[in-house]
Amino acid sequence: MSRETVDVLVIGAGASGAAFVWSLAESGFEVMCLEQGGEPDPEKFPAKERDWEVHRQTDYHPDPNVRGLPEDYPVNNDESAVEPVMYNAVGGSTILYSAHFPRFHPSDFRTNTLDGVADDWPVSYEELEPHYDVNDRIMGIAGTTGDPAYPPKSSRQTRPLLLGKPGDTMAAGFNEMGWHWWPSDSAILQEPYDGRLECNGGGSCDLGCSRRAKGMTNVTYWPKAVMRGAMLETDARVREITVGKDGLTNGAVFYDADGQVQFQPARVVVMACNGVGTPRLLLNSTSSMFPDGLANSTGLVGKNLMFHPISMVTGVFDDRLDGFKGPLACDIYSHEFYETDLSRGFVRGVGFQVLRSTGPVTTANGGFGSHVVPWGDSHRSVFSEWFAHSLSVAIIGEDLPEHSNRVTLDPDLADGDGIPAPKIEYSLSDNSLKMMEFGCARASEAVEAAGATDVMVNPHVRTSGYHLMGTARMGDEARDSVVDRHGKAHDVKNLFIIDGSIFVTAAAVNPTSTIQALALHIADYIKDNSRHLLD
Amino acid sequence: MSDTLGAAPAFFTEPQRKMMFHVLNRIIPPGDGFPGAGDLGIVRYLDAVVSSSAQLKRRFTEGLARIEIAGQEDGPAGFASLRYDAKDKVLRQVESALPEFFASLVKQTYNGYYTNATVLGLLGPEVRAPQPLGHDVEPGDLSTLEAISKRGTAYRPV
Repeated sequence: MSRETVDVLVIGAGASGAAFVWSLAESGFEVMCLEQGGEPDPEKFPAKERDWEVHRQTDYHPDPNVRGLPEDYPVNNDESAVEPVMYNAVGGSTILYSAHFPRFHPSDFRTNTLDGVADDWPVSYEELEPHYDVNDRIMGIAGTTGDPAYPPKSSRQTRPLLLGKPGDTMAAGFNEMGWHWWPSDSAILQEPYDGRLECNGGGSCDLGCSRRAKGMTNVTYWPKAVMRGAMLETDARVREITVGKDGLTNGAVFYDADGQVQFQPARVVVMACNGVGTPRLLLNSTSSMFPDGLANSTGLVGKNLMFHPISMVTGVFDDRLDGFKGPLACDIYSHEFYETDLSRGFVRGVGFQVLRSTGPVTTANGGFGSHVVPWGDSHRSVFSEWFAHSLSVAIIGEDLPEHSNRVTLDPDLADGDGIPAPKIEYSLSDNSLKMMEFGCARASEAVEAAGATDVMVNPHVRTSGYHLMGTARMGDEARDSVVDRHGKAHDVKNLFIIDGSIFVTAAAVNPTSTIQALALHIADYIKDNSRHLLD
Repeated sequence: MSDTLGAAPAFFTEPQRKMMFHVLNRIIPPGDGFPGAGDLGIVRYLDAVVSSSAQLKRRFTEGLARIEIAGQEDGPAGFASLRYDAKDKVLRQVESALPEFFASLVKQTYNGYYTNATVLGLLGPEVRAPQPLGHDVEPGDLSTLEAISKRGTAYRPV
C-alpha cells in the first residue's frame, strides 16, 4: 500500500534529528522521522541490577560490533586507529553519552584565518549563539556562568554538577599549576527541570538514565515534538534515498519493523544519521545521476572523517575519592591548552576533562584507561589501591580534516538487511600525535600536582570514536563541500544534512551542543524559506 | 542476578570444575578478609557465561585443555596438586600461548567476582547498584572560580 507524501522526512532520531523535528513541529510543519532503532524505556536501563556494570561489555557496549543488537549495523574498523561508537535508538547516541555539553570556541570556526590550517566554517559562533541558547533550554544544562574560556553565555538551567572529591582534587591540582578550570557544562540536571528528576549521583550515565536527568533526546525533545504532531516510526532502517528525473530527492526506501520494503515519499529529505551513517547512506544511494553516491559530485562524501583522538591519564591517590559516586564522566574541565600556540610544536590544541571513576567490575577490568588490575597475588593490593582511589583526565585533541581519513562502503560486510556496512580508514597525523603527547605530559603534571601517588597514561584510547564528524562538510563553495551553510546539499536542493557530518573542523570539545545548534539553525532556514527551497 | 546463574553445570565437566576451583583461586587469591574466586564458586558464573557463547566455548575448550596438559607436565597429579608458584607459572605460560582465552578468563572471573553479593558486602554498603538509591556527592569547593574568572578572557577573539 503506498504511503502518503510527507513534507519533510528526517532519517535518524538522535541528537540532531530530535532537535530538528521539534523545531519544525513546533512551528506547525508536517514532519516524519524514520529511526532504525527502537524507543528505549528508561525503566529498563540496567542501573538497578547487581551486574549493572557488566552491561557495559554487552548490550550497552558503545561499539556496535560488540553489541550486535538487531538494530545495529557492523562497522569495518580494521584500518582505523579509532573504533567508531554509536547507538541506534530514539535518542541515538545520547542514550549512552556522558552528556558533556561544551560549545565550540569562536576561534574553532576560523581555523584557516587564524592558524592557516583546514578551512573556515561558513557560519560563526555568533550566528549559532541563539540556537545554542534554545538547545540548552530544551536539553537542560547544569553549569555556571563566568567562564573566561568562553564569551558570556546565557544562564544555565541548573546549578553546576557537584564536584565530589575527584573534582575537588583535580581543581586543587589545576590551581597549583595556575591553570584554567571550570565546572563542565553538562546535560545532567542538578535540580528538577521541565518535568524531569534531578541526578542522584548514581554514576551509570553510560547505561542510560532511568531518572531522565541526563539530556537524552528521547526525554527532552521527542515528547514535545510528538505532542506537536511530529510523526515517528521506529524499527525503520533506510536503505537508500531516491531521486527523480528532476534530480531532486523524492523519498526513501526502508525496511519496516516486519522487514518489508517500504517507500516513504517526501518533498524534502533531511539526514541525521551521524558522521558514519550519513555518508554510508549517501554512498549507498546511487543512481544514473549520482553514480558515486547521492550528493557526491565532488567525491567528498565520506572524506575528512574526524574523531577527536583521546588519551587518558589516571591518577591513584592515598585518599579515598569515591569516584564511583556522581556523574560518571562529567565534573570539571580545563582549556588551558585549547588555543593554538605554535611554540608547542603543533597547531590547534587540547581540552582536558576530569572524569570520576568506575565501580568495581569496570575498575578491575581496566577503568577509563584500560589498565587491567593484574591477576594473581598482587590482585587484592592493586585493586584496593585503585578502586575508589582514582580519577582520570581525558585529553581530547583536535584532529584536522584529511581526505585519507574516510568512510566508504565495505565490499563484503553488510547488515542484517544486506545494506553494505561502512568501512573506516583513519590514522592519526603527526600533528595529532605531537598534540596528544603534549596533552598527556601536561595532564600528568596536573594529576601529580593534585597529589597522585601513581600516574598511569594510556596515550591512545582506541574505543573512543564517539564524535563522528566531517564526512559531508559544509561550505560556501560547491567544489569543495557537500552542503552549503544551511545544510542544503549543493547537488540536491531538497536534501539537507544536519548531523556531525557537516562539520568543517572538529574543535577539541564534544560536538553534541554544536550539532544540535546547527540542526536548529538549519531548521530555521527551512522554515523561513520553505516556499523557495528549490531556488 | 543470581550468583549461580543456574544450578546445573552447562559447560564444564566435573573434573574441569575441580581444576577451575584452583585456577580461579590463583586469578583472584584469597586474602585480606576476601575469599578467593575459587572459594566463592565463581566457576558457576563462568559456566553460565561460557555456555551461552560459541566463541567462549571454543576458547575455553582449548584453554582448559592447555592448562590441564601444562599442569600435568609439572606434576602427574595435575594442576590442582601444584604449589601456588608452579600454578602461576602454568597460567602465565597459557596466558602467553592463548592470550584471547586468558583475557576472557580474567575478564569473566572479575565480572563474576565483583558482582558477587559477598564481595560487594565486603567492599562496603555503598558499593551496590546505583539505582534507585543513587549516591551522595560532595559539593566541592568553587571558591576559586571568582579568581579564575577575573584572570580575563581565556579564549581567542575572532
